[in-house]
Amino acid sequence: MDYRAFLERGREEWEAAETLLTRARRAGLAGLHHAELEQLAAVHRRVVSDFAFARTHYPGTAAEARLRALAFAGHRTLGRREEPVLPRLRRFFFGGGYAQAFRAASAELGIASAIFLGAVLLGATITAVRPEFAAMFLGQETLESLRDGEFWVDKVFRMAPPALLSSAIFSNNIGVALLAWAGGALAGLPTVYLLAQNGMMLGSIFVATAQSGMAPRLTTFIAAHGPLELSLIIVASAAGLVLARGAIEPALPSRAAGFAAAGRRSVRLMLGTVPWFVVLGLVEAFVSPAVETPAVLKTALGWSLLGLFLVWALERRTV
Amino acid sequence: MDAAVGAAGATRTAACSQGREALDALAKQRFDAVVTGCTLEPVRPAPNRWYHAVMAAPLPDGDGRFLAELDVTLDLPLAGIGTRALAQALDLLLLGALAVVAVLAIAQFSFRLGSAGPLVLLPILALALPWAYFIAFELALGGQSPGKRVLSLRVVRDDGGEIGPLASIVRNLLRPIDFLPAAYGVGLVVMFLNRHQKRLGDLAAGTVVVREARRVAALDSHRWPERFRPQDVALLEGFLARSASLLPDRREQLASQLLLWLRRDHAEFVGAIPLGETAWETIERLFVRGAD
Repeated sequence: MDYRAFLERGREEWEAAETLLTRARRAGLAGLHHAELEQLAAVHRRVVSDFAFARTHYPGTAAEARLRALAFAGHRTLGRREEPVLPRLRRFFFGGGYAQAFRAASAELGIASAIFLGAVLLGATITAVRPEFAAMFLGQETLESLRDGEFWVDKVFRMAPPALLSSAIFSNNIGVALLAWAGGALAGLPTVYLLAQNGMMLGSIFVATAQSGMAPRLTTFIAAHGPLELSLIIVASAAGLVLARGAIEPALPSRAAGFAAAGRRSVRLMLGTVPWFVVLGLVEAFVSPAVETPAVLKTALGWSLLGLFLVWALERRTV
Repeated sequence: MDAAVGAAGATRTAACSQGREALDALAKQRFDAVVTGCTLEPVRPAPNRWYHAVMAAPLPDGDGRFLAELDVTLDLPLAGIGTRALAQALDLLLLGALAVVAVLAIAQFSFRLGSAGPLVLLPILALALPWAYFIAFELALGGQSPGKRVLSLRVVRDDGGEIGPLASIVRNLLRPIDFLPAAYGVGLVVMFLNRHQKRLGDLAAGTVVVREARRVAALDSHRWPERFRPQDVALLEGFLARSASLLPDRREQLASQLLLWLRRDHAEFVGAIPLGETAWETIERLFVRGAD
C-alpha cells in the first residue's frame, strides 16, 4: 500500500487512540466510561495491527515511530494491574501471603540456619582456644576494658539518647538484612559471608565475655531482642539464598526467567521482616539497656517476640 | 536550473561521486546507512540495540470478558549505557538536593521544638531516601525517575508492560549490589554481558530500560515520487524534522545533497515543478504542503 494512503486510512483512529490514552493516563482506566474503554481496546487493536504492517512495509519512517509509541503506550495502559496496593499488602501481611513465601523457602531457611549456627560454634571454639581472636570483632581496646570489668554496651548507651539509638539500630539492622538478601544476586557469596561473619562474631563475643566473667551481663542485654533479631537476619539471608538459587539454577523457559521469578519470591520473604525490625529497634533501644528490668522479663519478652513471628510466618490457612 | 545545485558539481559523474560522499556521511549520521553505487541503502540498526517484547496483555472486551492482545512483537530501542549513566547522574543530583532539603527541614523542626526528638528521623532518612526516591517516582511516573524522564528513558516489564510495585522494589533494592565496588562496577559488567543491557536489578526484577523516540512528523505532501522507498521517506522525514533547528547555510548544504539525489533518481518528479531560488526552497515546494 502507498505510504500516503496508509497515513490517510489510519489517521482518525490513531488520533482517537492518542486522545483516549491521554485521558486514561490522567484519570486511570477506572476513570473512563465503559464505552470509552471499549473504544480504546478496539482502536488499540487496530493500532497494534497497523504497527505490525508499518514495521514490515515502512521501516524507519515517522509513521512507524508514531505507531510504535502508540502501541507501547496502549500496551502499558491496558496491561496495567489496577489492583490497589492496600488490599495486596493486607493479603500479604494478614492473609497468609507471607506464610506462603516462608514455607516455600524452607530449604533455604534450613541452610541459612545451619551456616549461622556452624559459624557461631566455630567462632566460640576459636576464641576458647585463642582469646585474642575476639579482638577481631571487639577491637583490642574494648577487649581489654572488658577484662577490667567494663561492659562496652554501657558506653554506647551513655553516648546517645535511646530514641536516636533506636532508629539508628533499626536502620542498621534493615541495612544488614537488605544486603544479606541483595547479596544473593552475586551467587549468594556476600550472603554467606554476612551470615558466617555475624555468627562467628556472636560466638566469639559470647566466649570472650564469659572468659571475663561478664556473660550474665551480655545474656541479659540481648535477651529481649536477640532471639528475633538473629532469626530475622537468618530469614533475610535465606531470601538471599533463594535469589542465589535463581541466579545459578537452570529454569524454564530460561535462566533469566527463573532469576526474575526468584527475585519476586525472595523479596517478599525479605520485605515481611521490615515491620519486625521496627519493633526490634524500639526494644533494643528502650528495653535492652534498662538495667533495672529483671532478666526474666527480658527473656520472656525476647522469646515471645520470636514466638509471635513464627506463629505469623508459619500460619496455615486454607485459601 | 543548475543554480539550485550550486557548487555541488558540473558534470553528472562529479556530482554523483561528490554527492555520494556527502550522502554517505549524511546517511551514516541519520541511519547507520551505507551507500552502494550511487544510491542510498539504509540498513536497520544492529539487532542487539533493540528489545523485542511480545505484547500479550489481556484487553477488556465489550461483554466484560477478556481477549488476549494480538500476538505482535513490540520492538523498542534499548537505552544505552551512556544515556543511563547520564540519567543516573541527574537523579543523584536531585536526590542530593532532596536530602539537603530534608535534613535542613528536620533540623529546623528540631530547633523550633527545642528538642532533639525529630533527629530520630535522620538515620531512617539516610537509609530510606535513596530507595524511596526511585521506587516512588518509578511507580508514580510509570517507570521513569526524573532523570530518565529528561532523557526519555523508561523502565518496563519484560513483556513491555508498565512496571509494578514488586518489580520496582526488587530492581531498586538491588541497586547497592550493582553499585559495587564503586560507580556501578558490577552493574556495568553485567550490562556488557547480556544482550539487553540489563543490570543485576533488572535481571532479578524482570525489567528492561528502553528509549522512547522523539515524535517526528510524517511526510505530508500532496506530491509523491513514484518508486519512493521507505528509507527515502524516512530520510526526508528526518531532514524536514531537523530543518527548523539547522543553520540556514547548513540546511542549504544538506538540501542540495538531497536535491542532487532526487534529480538523479526521481528526475520526472523534480522536473514537474519550477525550481526554487535555493535547494531548500525546492525541497520545501516538493514536500511541504502549502509551501508552493
